[in-house]
Amino acid sequence: MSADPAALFGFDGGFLRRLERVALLSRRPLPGPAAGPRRSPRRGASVEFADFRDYAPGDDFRRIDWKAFGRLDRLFLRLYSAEEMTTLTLLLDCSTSMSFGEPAKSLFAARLAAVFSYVALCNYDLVAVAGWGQTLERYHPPRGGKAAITEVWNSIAALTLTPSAGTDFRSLQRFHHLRRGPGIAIVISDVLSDSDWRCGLRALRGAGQEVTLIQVLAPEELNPPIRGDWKLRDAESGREVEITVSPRLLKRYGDELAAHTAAVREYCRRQGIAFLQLRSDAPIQEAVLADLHAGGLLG
Amino acid sequence: MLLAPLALALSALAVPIVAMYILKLRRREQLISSTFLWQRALDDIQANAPWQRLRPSILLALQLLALVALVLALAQPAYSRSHRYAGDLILIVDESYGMQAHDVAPSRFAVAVARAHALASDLPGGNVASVIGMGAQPQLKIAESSDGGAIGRAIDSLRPAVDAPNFLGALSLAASLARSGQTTRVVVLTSRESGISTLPLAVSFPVDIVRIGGRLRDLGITTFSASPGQSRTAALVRVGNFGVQPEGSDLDLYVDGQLADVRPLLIAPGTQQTIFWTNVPAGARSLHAVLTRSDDVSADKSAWAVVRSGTERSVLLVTGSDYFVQTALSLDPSVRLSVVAPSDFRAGQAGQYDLVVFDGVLPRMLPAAALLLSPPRGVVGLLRFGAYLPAGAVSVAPSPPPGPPGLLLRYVDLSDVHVARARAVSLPAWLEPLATAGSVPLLAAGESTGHRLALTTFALQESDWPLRVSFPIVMQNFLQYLVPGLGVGAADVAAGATVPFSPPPGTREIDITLPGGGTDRIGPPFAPFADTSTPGLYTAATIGGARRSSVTFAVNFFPARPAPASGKSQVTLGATHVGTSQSVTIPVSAAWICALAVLAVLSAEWWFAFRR
Repeated sequence: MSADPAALFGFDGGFLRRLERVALLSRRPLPGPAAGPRRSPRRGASVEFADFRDYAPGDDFRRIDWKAFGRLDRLFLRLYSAEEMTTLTLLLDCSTSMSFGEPAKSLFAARLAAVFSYVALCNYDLVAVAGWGQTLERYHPPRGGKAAITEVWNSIAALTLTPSAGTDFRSLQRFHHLRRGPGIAIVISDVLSDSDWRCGLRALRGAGQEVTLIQVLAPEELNPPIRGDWKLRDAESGREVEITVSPRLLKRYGDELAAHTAAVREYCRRQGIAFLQLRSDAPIQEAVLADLHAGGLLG
Repeated sequence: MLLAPLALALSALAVPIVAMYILKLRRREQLISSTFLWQRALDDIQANAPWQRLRPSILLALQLLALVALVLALAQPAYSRSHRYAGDLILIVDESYGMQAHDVAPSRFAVAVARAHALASDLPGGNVASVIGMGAQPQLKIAESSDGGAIGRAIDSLRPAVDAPNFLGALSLAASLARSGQTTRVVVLTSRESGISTLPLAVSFPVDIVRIGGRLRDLGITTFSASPGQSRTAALVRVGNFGVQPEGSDLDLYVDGQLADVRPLLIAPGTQQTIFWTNVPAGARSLHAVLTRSDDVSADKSAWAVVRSGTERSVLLVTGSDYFVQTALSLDPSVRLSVVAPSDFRAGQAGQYDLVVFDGVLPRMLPAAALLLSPPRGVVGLLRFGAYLPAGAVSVAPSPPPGPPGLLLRYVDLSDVHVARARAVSLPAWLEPLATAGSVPLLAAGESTGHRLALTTFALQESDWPLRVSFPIVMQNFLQYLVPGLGVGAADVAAGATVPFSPPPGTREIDITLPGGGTDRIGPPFAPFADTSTPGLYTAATIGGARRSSVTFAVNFFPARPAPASGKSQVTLGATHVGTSQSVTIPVSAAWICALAVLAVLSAEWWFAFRR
């Protein structure tokens, strides 16, 4: 492990200074364990407006901007910077499938987690990190303060370097054993599994978490570069598939991927879960930050 | 039964086909993050072992089915089929009058057609059939065809007619169709009374005569004629009973369409009865005899006769006192003769007559049709008659001129005619000498610019010609030449026969009114009229020419009725014999069915693969 985590994730000083000027956005006020900059639903807490985003089922309709609705005939939710510290839990998919891609999806996921943790710690929030695969075991409890950034990033790097054998979203059902109370949970995974990812996400919601799912896909998964006769072996299950890749089969693969993504997106929309799909080869300093802003995750 | 059983060895091709479904391809391996989406995209996932378990596959089933059908097609499966005849078949179907009898239901002809269809459908594969319609003029309906549909249509195109069967012609046609080296059989489907019992022609193939008929009831008119007299016209009808029991009927006689008499008849089987009328009015033009009682044959119940068929010719004879010419012209009943003395003749009179005969007189101008007899010395037109020259025995021109003038001496013998003297004459080029005495022309005829002229250069009184048989004949020939009618040879014509016409000069067309009221029209060169299949009265009239002429003629069918040939309804004649009760078993290949199955299965496989 590198002595300088910033170098490990490829962050320079300018990028970190940019991160210090942004904050995590929540879709509703979240009570926290101690006073902080994030808005709290508790009586007497102050409110600082941060941004708008589209209304989603499950949101607190009291936060709907009715004036904007009167002008634009669309429902917008007002976002606030919390003034009370909250706990951000980063749930990294550490399965073997995340090791694939050029660059590897696990590295991109780690850098993404590093960005979120840096932003949270700079805004006086607490950050917990957990790695999950077939089980949810490697949990690093919440840390607070900017001084904890090194410890948090080392935890993230450690999780990335020791992948789990498989992926089972149901392992997220154990989350409430590890941590209780409301907070923000960001799940970073490729979601390339036929296991019941719905019950895992639903369990996080049940644990009082404002859930965000970020799907990371490698360019090879979006546009497979293979042609001809191949025997494909699943890195996690070891299952083999013999295929003769033809344009017709590739189109069919693309259709299946689009249908799968659409199903995940639709489920998240109905459950009030923010969903974002990112390519593992995207430059994190520019494109990803823009996507995170556009997705209402950072403000 | 398989005609090529060795082809079954090709069924071993099933092994490689199945192997292709068991044996797997050698593929490159790649580790990927998840096969989750690939697995969804694939329908057919292969197992890891080099040999996989054979799974139910529609494609495999279709391919094996196609192979089975292909192997069967190559092995040529066949089934046995028995045929009444082996080899080629020539069907001769009687279309004549006797086949119209209804003594078998629905008719003899319908039974013959049904029998022909049955025989044609029993034609062995690889053989051909021909169909001949046997009427007065045998017609080949289809030749050497193996197409069952075409043969059936040819049989259906047969039609019965009112004429006699021409067995010799039909058999000659069949003999020309027999293929050398091929077994051929001729089957003749004819009426029971057709009388065909022997082969009129030596043939090398067997001929089956199939007679169709039952217990016939037929009273028919076999003869009808009328002869005009001076004051009355006589008519004769002969009626025969061709059935097997006595038959009675009334016989009606119509004169010019009006019922004139009714005679009751009772005729024993196999006999004929003759009925006369002698009091038919002299002016009658046509007669119609009708048997009123219907029986199994309908076409022989009516007959027609024409008493006076042609049109009248008006002839003016300009003569002093000639007896011979006047008598000869009066012999023709169509001639309406007027006689005038030379002193009373006026040139304007000529236009009112079809022919002007100048006897001992020369006109100043020749009419359209003229006959010059005993001409005096003088000139008319380019004709110049000179002094008398001694003549003698008459000789006919060695080569008669072509065309109508050459026919003037038909049936004439002038060898016994002697002429004392004849006038010298200079003939223009259009006048042809027909007979001479030495170098002196005696008879000449010709046509120029629509004018016809015949002449003699001698006085009849100075020859012995009026006493010879040839004189009235030549006078009639002159009449026919100078005043031509339509020229139907006989007033009564047999059904199916052709009728030649000799239209007068200038005729553009001949209109023929048919018995049913329809019309037909023939034009130059006036081929003989052949549409005489319907008995009845026909009227032909000319269009164009100097004068309109018409003629009426009767078309009748009076078939000869021989006795039934034998008691057997079917006999076999010819060189070789194939028993009629004996059947021939011939294998019929069904390979085409298998080939069609191959095509269908391959199409299904293509559709199935394309749908996937």
